[in-house]
Amino acid sequence: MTLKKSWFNWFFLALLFSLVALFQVSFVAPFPNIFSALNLPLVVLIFCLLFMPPSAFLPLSILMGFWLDVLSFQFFGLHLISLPITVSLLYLLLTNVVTNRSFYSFLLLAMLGPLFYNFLLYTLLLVIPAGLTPGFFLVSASFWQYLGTQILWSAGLMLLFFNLVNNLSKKLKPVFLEKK
Amino acid sequence: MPRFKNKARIWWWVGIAALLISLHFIGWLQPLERAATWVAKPVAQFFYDSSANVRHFYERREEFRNFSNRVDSLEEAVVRLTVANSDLKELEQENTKLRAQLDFAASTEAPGLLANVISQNLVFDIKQDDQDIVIDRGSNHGVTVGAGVIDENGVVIGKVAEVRPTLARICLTTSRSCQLPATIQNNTRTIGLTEGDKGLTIKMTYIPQSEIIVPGDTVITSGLGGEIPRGLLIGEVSQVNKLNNDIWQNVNIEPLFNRNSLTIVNVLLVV
Repeated sequence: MTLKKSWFNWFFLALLFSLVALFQVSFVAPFPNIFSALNLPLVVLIFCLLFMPPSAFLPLSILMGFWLDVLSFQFFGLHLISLPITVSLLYLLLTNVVTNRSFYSFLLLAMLGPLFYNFLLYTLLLVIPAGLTPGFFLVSASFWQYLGTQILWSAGLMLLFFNLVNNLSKKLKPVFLEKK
Repeated sequence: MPRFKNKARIWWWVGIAALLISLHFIGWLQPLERAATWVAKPVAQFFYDSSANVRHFYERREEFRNFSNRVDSLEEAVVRLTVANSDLKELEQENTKLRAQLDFAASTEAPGLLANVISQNLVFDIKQDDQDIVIDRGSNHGVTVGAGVIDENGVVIGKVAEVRPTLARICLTTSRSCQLPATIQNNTRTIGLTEGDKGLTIKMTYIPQSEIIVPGDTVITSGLGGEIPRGLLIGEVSQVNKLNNDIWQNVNIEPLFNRNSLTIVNVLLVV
């Protein structure tokens, strides 16, 4: 890849990921809870694990975190910390535990992603008393309900994306585990 | 054993994230944040308007289902309001004469600042009691914490809860954390504080049992506290909760704005 093309790709990805972050903040968030539980930036980042190395998805997760922090009123750094750590944890799982690239692996990641992300997010909000604090979330039924909805959305979108990409690419193993 | 390939580059990005956060807290990131907000505003506005249209469409569909009931209740309301209107015209004429006689100065209205709503519900509130909107005007435009915010019909929708240079967070009147000094327009002009109830309605508590309040009484801002002018409409009493063995009574107030159709609001600047 030439240097010029590489820069164009980076610019295009940065623009796309910024739009996803803005879409989440301005389009998805105002909907009622069942719809606003959809965490599009996280789903997109999990999906990026399919194609990108850490040197690519980490800067993109930082970029998304930056946009979410600039437009939200929690302490600056909340998303900038949570998003990269979550995708890094998922990447470690992908490379060390669920090493094949089957649908089940990504379904598992799509379900664990919101779990890691929300735990990290609410823990940070709890331990860093700046602005709005949510209270102790583990005993809140609303938290678990919200998390469950987010996991369902994430898994559903992964099912959709995975099948779409699987028809176009041979990088993925659709159903069965890889035989070594 | 967990592993990351190309660790040096990973640490490089961790360093950049840490640097961004540090620069924010010492204030050096502000130009970049302002530029980012400036770039994001039109896009966020477009997404928010599209979102509002979709939400409004589904809301209208729900409304059509209850159409006949609504027509009946609106017809009743028209009759009631016509009667009230004729009374008010009389009162207005009387008021004009009295003001002229007493040489009353015309009440000064707080200057308003139009702002676009660019987001909603960014509060991480697990009880779902708080509701917020984010507008594209901030301290650079004169917005201050506590300033009242009204919709296009002049109904109070909330007040400024937090301000950044180019953005502000508005807590809606239905939000648990949003308290407004208010007056019920009954015979004794009951005063108190309103606060949101479960993110759906508004309530006013600790009202003495002796006060006579009936559903349909309107609730306006009292002007106490000085940040929000007196006389702005907050809502209408929908239910009075009064038990004989209680010291206090409380009322539920129906807000008169539609959260889903809020796209442009007016911030009443504190002068």
